[in-house]
Amino acid sequence: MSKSREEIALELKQHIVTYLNLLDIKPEEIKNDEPLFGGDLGLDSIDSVELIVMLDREYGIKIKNPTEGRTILNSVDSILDKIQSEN
Amino acid sequence: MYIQEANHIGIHVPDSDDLGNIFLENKCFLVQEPDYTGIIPSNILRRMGKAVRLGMGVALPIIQKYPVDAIIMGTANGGLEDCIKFLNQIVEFEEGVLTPTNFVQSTPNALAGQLAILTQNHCYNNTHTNNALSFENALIDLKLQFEDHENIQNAIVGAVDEISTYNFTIDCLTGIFIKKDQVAKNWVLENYKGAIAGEGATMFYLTKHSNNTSTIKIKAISVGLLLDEHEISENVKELLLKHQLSVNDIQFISTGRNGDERYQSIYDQVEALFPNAALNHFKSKCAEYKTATGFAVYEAFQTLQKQTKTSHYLIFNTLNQRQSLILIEKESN
Repeated sequence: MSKSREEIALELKQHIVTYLNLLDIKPEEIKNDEPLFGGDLGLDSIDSVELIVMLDREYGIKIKNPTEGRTILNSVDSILDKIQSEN
Repeated sequence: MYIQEANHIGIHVPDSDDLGNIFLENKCFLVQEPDYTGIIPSNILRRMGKAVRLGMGVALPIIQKYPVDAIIMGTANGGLEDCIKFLNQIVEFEEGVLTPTNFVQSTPNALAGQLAILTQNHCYNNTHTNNALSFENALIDLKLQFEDHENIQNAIVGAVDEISTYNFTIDCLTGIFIKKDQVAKNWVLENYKGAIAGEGATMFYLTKHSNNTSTIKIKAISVGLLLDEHEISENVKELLLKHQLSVNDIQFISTGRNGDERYQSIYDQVEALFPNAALNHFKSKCAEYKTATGFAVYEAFQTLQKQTKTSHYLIFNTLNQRQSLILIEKESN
């Protein structure tokens, strides 16, 4: 049985917290529509590379086009769209 | 070079025969890290390995208080844990896509670089990685900077090393460290087949000239390689002679005994040169790591601050066939 969008979202948030070592943030505290960059999470360009590596390792998604990457990494929702479109 | 301020994060050795669960579990003395809240911003802290965290924890309170013309660090291994993680990733992911954080943090100069970035300080910035002489070489570097560059009047100099699982295992195999379930209270005097491992970070604010707040100066640093016991004794005498001192002018002698049987006769010989000096074994409080002489200077600074008349404090250390002498002087008030 395939996972629901909510289940994938929680798993994705857990990966984000682990890969970025977000010390004070729990996965469930990240909102699906919250901008990952320029918002309260305080992520920067190094984090964007960490997220690209995470998508490659955990979901087999390779982001090679920077413009496409900017759109995909906008929020948890946008990453979820990409994950679901690949499967 | 005058010591204006010193800061240290180190191990805690219980003052009893029971060394506690920390030692029993790890077979070495690990630092109990402080809460860095208010010292290191959390979005920067999350990327740091232990060595960098420790270094930042001792450096930032100093660097934010004083003008700094040079940042010079001594570390034998730097953030080795991150370095090993990065190397393992290369193997695990077959030289594919790698995460940048472990790479950024894995170089020994990550600490000095982070300090410069965080404080927007673009001054002279250098890191020395010379095994058991890393800290001594950092001090020598500053001495040369003070002599050659008029614009460098003060500096932050540090000594930082962490225990990583990897280097602890390797150093146990090579015989530098030994894993013991329990050690005697005065373990530095024992004849083990290796040293008891520790870790720590020490940071100093040093100025070229004295001021009203400190008259404690690092008067001389001498380093040696592959010296035998006779040459070491001669080195000690030469150093004192060069500064018009005799063995009777040394009030405090602090040596790096670490419980390793291979070094005990060397320490016996050096300590015997100073029968009238107060003897201290600094590694009984910091255990063995390759920049432990940073802690020895920290202790010297604490001790000499309490003296009112001219006093001399000599530190002798040997490890991995490297030897160092650091002479510290307190000028009378």
